[in-house]
Amino acid sequence: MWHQIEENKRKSGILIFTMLFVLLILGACLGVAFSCYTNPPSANSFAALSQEEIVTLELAILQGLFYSAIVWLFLLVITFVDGKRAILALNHAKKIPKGANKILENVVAEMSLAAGLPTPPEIYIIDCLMPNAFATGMNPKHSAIAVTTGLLTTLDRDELQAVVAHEIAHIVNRDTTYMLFAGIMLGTIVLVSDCIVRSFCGKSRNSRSNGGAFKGGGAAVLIMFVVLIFAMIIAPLAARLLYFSLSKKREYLADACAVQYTRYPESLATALAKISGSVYVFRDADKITSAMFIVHPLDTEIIYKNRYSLFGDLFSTHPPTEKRIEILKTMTRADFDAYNEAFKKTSGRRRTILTKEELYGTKHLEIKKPNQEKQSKVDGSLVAGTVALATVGTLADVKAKEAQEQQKQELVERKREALDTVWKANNYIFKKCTCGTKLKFPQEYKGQEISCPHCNALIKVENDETVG
Amino acid sequence: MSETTIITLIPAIVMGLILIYVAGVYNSLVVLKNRVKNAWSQIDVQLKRRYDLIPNLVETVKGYAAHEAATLEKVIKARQQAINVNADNVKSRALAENALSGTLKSLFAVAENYPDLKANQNFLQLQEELTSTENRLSYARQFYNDSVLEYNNKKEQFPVNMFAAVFNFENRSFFEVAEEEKAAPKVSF
Repeated sequence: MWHQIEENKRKSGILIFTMLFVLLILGACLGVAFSCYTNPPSANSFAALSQEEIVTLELAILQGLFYSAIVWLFLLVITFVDGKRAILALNHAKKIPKGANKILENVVAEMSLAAGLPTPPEIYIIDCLMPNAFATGMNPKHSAIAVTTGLLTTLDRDELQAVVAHEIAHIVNRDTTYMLFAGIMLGTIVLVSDCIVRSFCGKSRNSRSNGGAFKGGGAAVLIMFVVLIFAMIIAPLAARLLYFSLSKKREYLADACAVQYTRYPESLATALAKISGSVYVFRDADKITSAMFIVHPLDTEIIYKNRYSLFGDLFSTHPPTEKRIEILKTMTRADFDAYNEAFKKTSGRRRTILTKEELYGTKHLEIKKPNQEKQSKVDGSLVAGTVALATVGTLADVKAKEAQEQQKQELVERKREALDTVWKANNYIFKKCTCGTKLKFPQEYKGQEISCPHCNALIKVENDETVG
Repeated sequence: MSETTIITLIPAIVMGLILIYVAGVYNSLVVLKNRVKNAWSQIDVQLKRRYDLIPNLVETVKGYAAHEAATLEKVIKARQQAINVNADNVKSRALAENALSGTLKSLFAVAENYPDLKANQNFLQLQEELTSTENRLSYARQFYNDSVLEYNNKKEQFPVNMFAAVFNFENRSFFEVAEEEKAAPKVSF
């Protein structure tokens, strides 16, 4: 595990300088393009360029380099100071106030302890029906976990715990640091090259009517052509490949760590199945940040089937979810070794997924089932409820029906709880009516009274009312 | 470079490399030791949290189930005993804390018989808090034990064990739970 942390730190460093390199080249391209546009060289080949034109070109390149270096520095500062907030804002995540969702807070606190995280991460909520979650942050002390309302509704406590454990593993392994850098740098490169391509296309259209960029001789055209190709294809492709090629293994590792924290692989398996089987899609998910989620938000089963292609695997940031589930289900113990064995068994390959360095310090950890008492209690009450109906034949039916009913009730309860959390994250004030209805209204509400939609009673609005 | 300087340089370089290695081993041992220490303090935080919650719980239960005085008394006594135990002795501490866990479990079992108590908002809140505290305790203990194992493993391996002895790195004991938990409510006063 410590090996992974070191590697991620090193990779973050390499990435920062690779991105500087790519940005510098992009800057030079931009400089040349700009100079060719405002002051097109008249020669027909490179050799025929006059001394003066070469000097202007060189100057343009230098200018481009200078500006891109400034952009890079600016990005670096932004990433360090505000990267977390930018990523969270891109995904419409809202911070939840203390006490807004006790279970979620407790689960996060418990998993932080299991992972030995010095301070539990901040908790954010995204108002979206697709169950999903991601983590971000520059370092473990200043990290955040964001979950969707869909996650809170569809998963039970143990499954939620497994997902949170997976996200905390990302934080502990410093995957979040790396992803933060990669996300912001990649985003900028894509943006800049997009700008270049757009400006070129716009200009070449103009050039037909009044002679724009292509007014000059062959050298100008050639230069522009090379720049365009680079900006259009190579830069974003390189950035993307770099970014995507690195995140598959970290998902496996985070799964293995999550199991080590919870000591219960089954709950993560069922959670993953529920998430990837969701009929909802997180449309607002940003393309660049989507690699941070536990299951790719634009890559659920339904979409995956329609869009499978040869390059799909090369560009996908996550290993196939079915495979992750299969590995978890074949685990016989809860340590890294067991994960490796399960990986070998399911993929039929000799190669293991976690290397020796990552296995350092692990041992035989037994699987332990959480919350067994709760389960037996539910069964007990069900039996007590059905004994009155005596007939043995229908007993199973009634039991099943009651269990179903209870599950439905639980789902409704969880949904209500999840939506309440969103209201609280938006600083709404809660007020209870005597008829049991919970009224929610924004803090800015000016009126003195509000009428209950169920019983029409007038309720006094006091702004000092505690949220709850 | 003359031959004599090379001959004198070689031992110097070897000594330097050994020194660097020893420094590396020492530092990694310190990191692991501090992790164990930190993990222990996390357990402490959760234990304190539990001590603070128990009086409230006892007060709440008293109001509804006054004639369960024996159970309540056991909880209070177990808490007092856990607080009084020597903080540095991991083994005896684990024993006292496990006894307290056991009495708490029997208290919640007793509470099942009082519908009024079970419906009490205050009691429900306390129950959720205590359940979460128990969970946190078990996860903190899990991390502590993992850290201790890693530390002890590293320390006992050759050639680290030679330096560990020289630098006075002591073995840490686990916060055991398995056996005691099975026989949890075995408190005799």
